[in-house]
Amino acid sequence: MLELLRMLWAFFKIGLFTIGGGYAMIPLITREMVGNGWMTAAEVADVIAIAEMTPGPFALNTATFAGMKTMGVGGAVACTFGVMLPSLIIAMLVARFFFHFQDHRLVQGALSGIRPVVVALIAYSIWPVVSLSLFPGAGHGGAAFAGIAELLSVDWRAVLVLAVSFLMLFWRKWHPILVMAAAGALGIALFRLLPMLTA
Amino acid sequence: MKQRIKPKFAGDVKKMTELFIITLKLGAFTFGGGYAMFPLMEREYVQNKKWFETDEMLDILAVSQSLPGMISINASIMTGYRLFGVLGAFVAVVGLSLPSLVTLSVISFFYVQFRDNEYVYAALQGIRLAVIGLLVQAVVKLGKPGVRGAFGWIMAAAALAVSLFLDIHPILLILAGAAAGILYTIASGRSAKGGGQDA
Repeated sequence: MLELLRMLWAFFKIGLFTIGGGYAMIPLITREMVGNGWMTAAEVADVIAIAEMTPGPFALNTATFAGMKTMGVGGAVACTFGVMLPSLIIAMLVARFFFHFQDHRLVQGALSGIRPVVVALIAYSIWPVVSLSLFPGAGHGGAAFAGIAELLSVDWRAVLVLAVSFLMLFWRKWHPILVMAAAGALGIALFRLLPMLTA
Repeated sequence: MKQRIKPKFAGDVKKMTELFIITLKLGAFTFGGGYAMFPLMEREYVQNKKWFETDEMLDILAVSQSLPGMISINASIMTGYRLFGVLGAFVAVVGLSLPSLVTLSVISFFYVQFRDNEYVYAALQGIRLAVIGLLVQAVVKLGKPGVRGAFGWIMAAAALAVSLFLDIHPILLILAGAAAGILYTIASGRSAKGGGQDA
């Protein structure tokens, strides 16, 4: 029980000090898990890999998996609750005030400056995914422009999946979940089954 | 002047059940970082249910990004709170985390096989490509109401340029956007010719 509370507390801190994307919490997770002797550094690396490979918010996946590995279902629930608790407290308090002052002239002014920035942030977040999935050879997160050699080395299968996804989203207006399912199936066919057939 | 901001649909059990189902979907079908969840949120909350305007969605995302904790969790709490009050926030959080809890608990028993499975890896390669399409769609949809007028375009371009060339935390960009927006509102309120060039 005490150990459960300690895990909850550890993930509470992780949730509290992660601002912005879930990836910002990796160093903190490593420190808490390894420092408390709950996991080795290699296991933490495994947790992060699995959390990335499974659907769902990265932070929740990490919390569930870390809790499950160290203390079973109880640990999973404790860690998930712990990582969400700071948000529950802070976001609800802020929401209370935010929706209250939303229509104030200066708040509207601030929002008119914030909205374009958020759109730009989303636009910018496309780049790492493009670099990871279309140019796996290129160094990640570094220069924003791939060299000509890298452009030529693009996998035609990746381009095909990308093109099909765009068509389904923008032309056929499919639901995002359907598009992801189709792209997953196409991925298995092109990246796994096709090499088996041609090998 | 609005007095007290009340939840949009306080006590509407049918709509709350729908919120629960939407957050289950968000939890089960978000791949990658918090931004990848936006297209799904836009589709469900703005397009399908019409519970929010695109503007409101953008504001919630901006605030969620600036608070401690994970963006996806903060955004779910704020949407739930805005719709149904405190109970809504809890419903949203349980819905969002339940898929992670179940999936990761199951996977934790055979995660080595899962991690090294080539079919999983191939499907993930495909899904990542679809996520690019989803993010582009989010930028287009959120950009229409979010980036308005010359001021909006300048802000978006400046934010994009700064993220491309400087390693700056998103929160600083959002704060700068808020400051610029407030200055612009004050300036354009005093004289017809107002110029806000802060970025």
